[in-house]
Order: sequence, then structure tokens, then C-alpha cells
Amino acid sequence: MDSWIHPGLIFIFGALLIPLLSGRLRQIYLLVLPSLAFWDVLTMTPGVYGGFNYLGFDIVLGRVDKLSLVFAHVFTLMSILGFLYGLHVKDTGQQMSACFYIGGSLGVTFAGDYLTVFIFWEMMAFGSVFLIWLRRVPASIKAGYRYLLWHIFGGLLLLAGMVLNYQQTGSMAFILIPEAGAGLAQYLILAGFALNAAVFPLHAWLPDAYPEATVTGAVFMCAYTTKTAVYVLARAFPGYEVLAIMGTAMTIYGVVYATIENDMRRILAYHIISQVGYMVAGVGIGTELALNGACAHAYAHILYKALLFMGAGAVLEMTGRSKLNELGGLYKYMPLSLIFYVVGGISISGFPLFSGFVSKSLIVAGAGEAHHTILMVLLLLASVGTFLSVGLKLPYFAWFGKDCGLTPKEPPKNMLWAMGLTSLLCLFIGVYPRALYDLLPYPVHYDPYSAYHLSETVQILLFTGLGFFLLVKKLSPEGKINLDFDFFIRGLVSGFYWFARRPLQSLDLAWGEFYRTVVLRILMALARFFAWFDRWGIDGVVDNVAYGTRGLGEKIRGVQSGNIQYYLALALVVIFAIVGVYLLT
Amino acid sequence: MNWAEPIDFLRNRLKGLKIFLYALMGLALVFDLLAPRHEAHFFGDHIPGFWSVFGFVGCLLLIKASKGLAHTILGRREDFYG
Repeated sequence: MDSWIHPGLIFIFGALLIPLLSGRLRQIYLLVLPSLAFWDVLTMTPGVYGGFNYLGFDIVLGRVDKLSLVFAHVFTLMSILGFLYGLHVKDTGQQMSACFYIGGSLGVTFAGDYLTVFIFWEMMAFGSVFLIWLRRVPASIKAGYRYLLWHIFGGLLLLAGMVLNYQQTGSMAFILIPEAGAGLAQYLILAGFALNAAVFPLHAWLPDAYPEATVTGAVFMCAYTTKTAVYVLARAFPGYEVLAIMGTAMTIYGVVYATIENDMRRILAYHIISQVGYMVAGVGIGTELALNGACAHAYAHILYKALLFMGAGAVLEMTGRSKLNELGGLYKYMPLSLIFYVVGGISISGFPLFSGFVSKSLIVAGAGEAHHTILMVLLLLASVGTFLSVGLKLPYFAWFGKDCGLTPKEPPKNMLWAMGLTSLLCLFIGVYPRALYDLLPYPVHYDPYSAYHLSETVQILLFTGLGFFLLVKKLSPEGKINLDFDFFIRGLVSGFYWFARRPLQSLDLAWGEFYRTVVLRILMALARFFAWFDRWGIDGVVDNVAYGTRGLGEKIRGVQSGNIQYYLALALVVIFAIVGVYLLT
Repeated sequence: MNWAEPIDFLRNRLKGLKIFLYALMGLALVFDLLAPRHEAHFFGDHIPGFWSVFGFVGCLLLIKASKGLAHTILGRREDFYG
């Protein structure tokens, strides 16, 4: 029982070796490391590990139960696929920051107290921001700073909530918070978590930053931040009405933007908001079926969203372009990438036999059974938008549509293998849903392949397709961007710049001028005074002591005549004096 | 193997593909008439073909609404943020 090894620490300490290795050896290491972590999770038995007391706080590093295991399972599985996809990358900085990022995410997943959650939470933010910065173009540097600002803000919300919660309850334990007793402290924690889950209106960091990340970095980013947030929400806030409503709003919000955006990876990023909306809604509905759905959807979503980012990333890697209005007709040159992308696209749209079909339906059925009819219908409308934007529009305009004249090659072998394996997993989960259902926190008594559910899904998908091809001209990509809430954070940043440039800088200048004219002059006068004092005061004293000593020395020199008889006489006088004094007393 | 070949194979038979998809739609509607409705949650679940209409109208509405938003209040030039 004591032999529990934290899989997050495998990544965090494993990262330190990466820059020391090179070539083939590093590639092998980058596959062995996540495989070790995956094996570690597979062989774990539920329990509480790694608990100790630090400064009076009960720290729990390893709470292993069904809820944390299902997330850790997919996090580590995804890390293998992600590193395989990025195996050709020579920039070890990216691989190291991915390790810290995944390590942070696993740290949160197994954390049993808020202090541990918070530390790993921040580690995720700082690990992931380097996946943006390391693209090394001005747009990514700026987007990275905005991303960091958002996450620091979210971290502060969480910290404030934690501290207030500790003041109220006297406990740092990270456990379920009943909705009835939740006050300001608990809602601050909720808001901190919600920011990472990209819940409207705290979502703008996601579509702002993910499209600016490196090709391989985005594949990692789309998996961990939001799904870790779904996990912590499911842990602490199941059944919160506000989450059910906000989650459903997110599903629609995401697809509306995904329908009009032009940049491939921004379409996919907006669509993450939509998909995470399903999970947040599942957590908010809070029944066993819906919570199972949230976990299952997180699991399936991580795989197919990563697959979609891999496909879009392959196009960006090989053409250097990611805007749909600059792409088109690539199917002749990158057919395998297209096929794998489409597998991701039909998985996310919930085609029967693919993973989205068996996971999304748990949440929709959960909404229906809990009599949230309006939410259920809106969730189904969002799945119309999903197929429309990610399943049809994006691949149509990137691989078909008008020919853009580019003749790229297929991406490197390791990228194709990663896409192929992920595609297989999407198909496997769709064909054999038991494999996924058995991992879920509650027993599943739901059969996705019922006749009515099949009929409903097939109708929605077929007729969405019909609608798309009728209005395909209307959907032609445009070289434009769309306003979102990042407008405000950009405004805030510009405002801060202005504040720094104008009031702060002029204050700085004025102080400089004041210093130069007034302060400097006073200092010079003072310096002159001390120079005078030094010369006439201190030097005078020191010199006089020296003169005095010299005079004394001259006087004593008179005694030192050098004649031995004087010395003997002097010695005798002294001896007699001593003996005399001794005898008299 | 050149994986573009099967895609070209389908592209050269767009007409057949269309007929196949229309047939599939008809089949889905027929199937919906026969499917048992144990899990009905609201009125729509009792109307045969409801989800076909839902999918079609939903798709058109989403395209119209979101493109409308993009062309009025959301869309900006690419250099808007400088």
C-alpha cells in the first residue's frame, strides 16, 4: 500500500532528464515516460496515499477513487499520444513544459486538499503558457501574456475562496460542497474552477490563446486545462443549478463562434467551449447518469479533440497556414490527414459507432431524465452546430472547396501514427462502450444503441448535412476576426499600458528631473561638507595623535642610550624597589 | 497506397452519393415510424420525423443567426487589434 507512486511526479521529475538526452534515445524516453505513468495509473488500487501534516495542514497528495482514476486514465493515455505526435520536435523546452503541465494536471486530479490543488493548479498555468510562447512569434508572445493574466486572475479567485473557506470550516479538505450551504467563499472557488473550464464569461482566454500555441503544444493544451477543471467541478460542485444552465449556454455559444470563425484552430478552440459545456451541464444536473456522462464525455472528448487538433495542426505544419480562406483542395496531397480528421469530426458529432455517440448521449439522457427538457433540446441543438462547424465546414473548406494551389506533403510518420492510433481509440470506444462505461464512477445502466436513440441521432445528423449543403455558399470563410470577451481584457491591458506609459512614466520622468536638479545638488553640498570635515576634523584628530606619539617616542629615545651599565643599574634599582616593597609589607 | 484514390472515387460519383444520402434520409424517416419510444421526454419525442425537422431547421437557423451576428456586431477586420 505504501508503494503508491504519484504519476504526476513521474512527469515532473522525468522532465528534468529530457534536455540531457538526444536523438533516438530521447524519442524512446519520451514514449517510455508517459507509458510508465499510464501503467502506474492502470495498476493503482483505490485508497488514500501520500498524506502528511505540514504546518498544521493535512496534505493529501493521493486520493485514488473511481472519479480521479477515470480522469488520470485518460490524461496519461493522452500523454502517450501527444508525445508521439510531437516526437519529431527538437525543442526540448516544449517537451519539458508539456511534462510540467501534465504533471500539474495529474497533481490536481489526485489532490485531497486545497493547498495541493492550488500548487498544481498554478503549475499547470505556468507549464502551459510556455507551449504558447515557444512558438516564438510576436502574436504568441502577446497571447501568452494574456493567457497568463487570465489564469493568475483565476488562481487568485481560487486562493481567496480557499482562504475564506478555511476560515469558515477550519478545513482545507477538497471535498463535495453541498449547494445549500454554499456562500461567497464556495462560489469564489467555483469561479476559479469555472475560469479554467472556460465557462462564459470567463472563457475568452481559450480561443485567444490556443490558436497561437505551437502545433504540438495545442494538442496537449486542448486536453488538460478544461478537463481538469471539469474534474474539480465534478468533485466539489455536482448538482449546482448554475452550472447546468451555464454549461448549456456554453454549448450554444461555442458552436455559434465555431460556425463563423476563419482560423481552423480557433474554430476548434471555440468548439472546446461547446464541448466542455456538455460536461459542465452534466456536472450541474448532478444525477448519477449525468455525472457519468460528464466523465465519459471528458474521456471521449480528450481523444477526439486532440485528434482534430492533430489534423488541423498537420495542415498548419505542412502549409504554414491555418486560415480557411487561404486553404482548400488539400485532399489530393494530405488524404490521410483528412481521413483521420474526419474520424475525429464524426466522433465529436456523435455518429453511431464512434465515441461521441456513446458519451454525449449519457448527458443528454441525464438532462431528459432529470426533466430539464429545455436544456436537453438546447444540448441537441448544439450537437447540430457541432456537426455543422467541426464535422462539415472545417474539413470541407480546408481539404475541398476552392483549390488554394498548395501542394503540401503528408506530415511526418510519427504524426500520422498518433492520428491513426487516436482514430482507432475513437472507433473502439464507439463500438465497445463497455470499456469506457466500466471506468465511470457509478454503474451504468444505459444502452446508447437503443432503436430510438439511433433514430434520433441519425435523423439529426443527416438533415444537418442537408442544411449544410443547401447553404454551403453562405458559409464561405471570410478573412475576418470576431469580437469576444477578450475585447475587454485587451482593453484592460491597453489601459494598463497607457497608465504605465502616461501617468507612471511622467511621474518617473518628473522624479528624475527633480532628482537631478534638487536632490543631486543637496547631495553635492553634503558631500562637500563631509570632505571639508574629513580633511580638517577627522584628519586633524588623527594627525595630532600621530604627532603626539612621535614626541613621546623622542622623549623615550633619550632613555635608550645603548650603554649596558645604565640598563644594569636601572634593573637593579627596580629589583631593590620590588624587594623593598615586599619586605616592608 | 495513394489514399486520395478512394476520395476521388467518391468525388467522381457525386450524383450517386447524393441519391444514396437521400435514400438514407427516407430510410431514417421510415425507421423512426417503427422505433419504439420508451424514453420519451417531451412532446417532440412522440412526433415521427421530429428530429429530422429539428436537425434541418436547427442547421439553417444556426447558419443564419451566427452569420448574421458576424456580419453585424461581431465581425472586424483582421488587423483590428493591430
